[in-house]
Amino acid sequence: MRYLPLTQKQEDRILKLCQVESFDQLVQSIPESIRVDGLLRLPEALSEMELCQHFDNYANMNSDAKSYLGQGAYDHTWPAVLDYLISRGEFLTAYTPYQAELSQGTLQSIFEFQSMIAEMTGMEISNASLYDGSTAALEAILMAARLQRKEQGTIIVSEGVYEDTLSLLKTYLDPLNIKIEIWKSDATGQAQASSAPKVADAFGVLLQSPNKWGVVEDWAQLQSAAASLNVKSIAHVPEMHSLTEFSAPGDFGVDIVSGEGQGYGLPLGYGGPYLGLLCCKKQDVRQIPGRLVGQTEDATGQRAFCVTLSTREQHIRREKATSNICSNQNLMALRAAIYLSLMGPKGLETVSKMNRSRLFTLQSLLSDTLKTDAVTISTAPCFNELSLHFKSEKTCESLLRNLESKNILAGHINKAPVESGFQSSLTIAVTEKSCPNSLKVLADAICGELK
Amino acid sequence: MSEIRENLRYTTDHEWAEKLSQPKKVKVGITDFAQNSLGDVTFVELPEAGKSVKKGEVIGSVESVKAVSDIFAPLTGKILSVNEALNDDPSPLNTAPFEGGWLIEMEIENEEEWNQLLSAQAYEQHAQ
Repeated sequence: MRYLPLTQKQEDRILKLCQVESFDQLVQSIPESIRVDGLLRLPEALSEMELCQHFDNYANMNSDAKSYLGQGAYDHTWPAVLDYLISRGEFLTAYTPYQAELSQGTLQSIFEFQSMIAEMTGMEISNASLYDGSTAALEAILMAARLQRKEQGTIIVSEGVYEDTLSLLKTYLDPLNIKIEIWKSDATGQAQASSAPKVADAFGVLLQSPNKWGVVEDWAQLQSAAASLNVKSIAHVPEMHSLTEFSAPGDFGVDIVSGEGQGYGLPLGYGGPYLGLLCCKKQDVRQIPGRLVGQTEDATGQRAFCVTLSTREQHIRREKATSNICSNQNLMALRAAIYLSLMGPKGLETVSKMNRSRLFTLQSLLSDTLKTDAVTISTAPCFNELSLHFKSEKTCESLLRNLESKNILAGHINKAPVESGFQSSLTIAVTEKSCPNSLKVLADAICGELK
Repeated sequence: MSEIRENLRYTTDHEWAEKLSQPKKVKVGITDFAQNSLGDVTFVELPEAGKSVKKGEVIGSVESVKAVSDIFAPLTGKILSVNEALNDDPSPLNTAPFEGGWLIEMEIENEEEWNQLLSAQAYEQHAQ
């Protein structure tokens, strides 16, 4: 099969247009030393059957270990019909609507998505989605800087922000000369307004909840910290299901909400695709990056949907756009919208209640049998994730390794809250899919190791 | 036909500047020609009062249903105040570009720059 069909005639025409004699002459600016001599060193071609076997072999290398890893990626269940709906050709093959108004159905689905996300976060405006949770946190910070008319300055970030999110923030903010100042948590892993750093050139403060230890934060502390510094407040929600059980940041008057929508029916995957969420107040809508879909009326007075306020976007505003990474992930947003409408308020409540009760099951299993001074079980309010704080980093790491050899990925190791006096935290993710039996196996294994 | 006022100076970017009674104090806006070509203005992004600006620097933008256009500082100096009323209702930019639609007041640094601005006649030629 010819993958790059190019006849001699076509090649001659191209060379003539480029005013060169030969292909070699065309690429003469590329140094000889880095040009490939001869053919690429590729393995022999495989037949269709061999190719399938080749990839099956890779697939078989996947571990079937029981995983309690979380940190922004949670193994939730979803109604089976979701997979059938989302794989319909009209949805699966449709991309970001560049001829937006031609695809009213796509626009309506985005509009519904925005409405549902705004309702869950308690905010007035939601955009049509962003790349993922961590880039949404970044966009929230850049938006806060624009709102405060700061080109440089400091963003205050809670100690409980995921390590990978923090590293992404550093990658983007360092070259912009925006500094990051950490807002230390108390010994239980919660941020208190009184300990927010007083930085003169701060323009915003970001609080993540649930945080990297699984601890649910108090949005009132965020608001009070932001108010005392006279800066914008950003609530970062990496697990949207937590908002069913705990208060929505919008109810506290938070300025910007960023989040990760993976929990809303998106499968786990290395590198995604996940779903970034970004919400703001109506007064700040011109500084929100990304697509926004609005509802209007067409010439005949019928309801219609349109891309709105697109003068903020890069195809109109070029280098002055509110963002140049405002790729919205329609399919993922649609998936979340279908998930939310299938679940409804009652379904969401059931899921989050199950999540919490499974976490309590693990918590009580552990506290019943774990009798050692080296480890403390977090008692702070938590959602989806529970942390065990270790006096010694080594104990924590060897526990994780030993359980791994028993085919259990027991969780993620974080630095313990600085104020707690502990060194490391093993953060264990539990969802409605973690059955009580396997939680018992996990608890027994942990207690067995730490005896 | 767009209105051009005799008592004002102009830039090639279709902005006007008016000398106020206090020395070095200048009021700035966009011309009738500019608002005509922009169409209905939906939003104005204004600079912060107190900011020092250089002639030609982008200090804000005017957004219409058709496009977004930059506002340039016509002169070097310090921004004294901005027309906050436009934040809530930018319509004076269309209805009264020389009056209620003014954008900023500034204190200018040098007279020479003022003298380099276009006269009403020169601007009329430019805007044709």
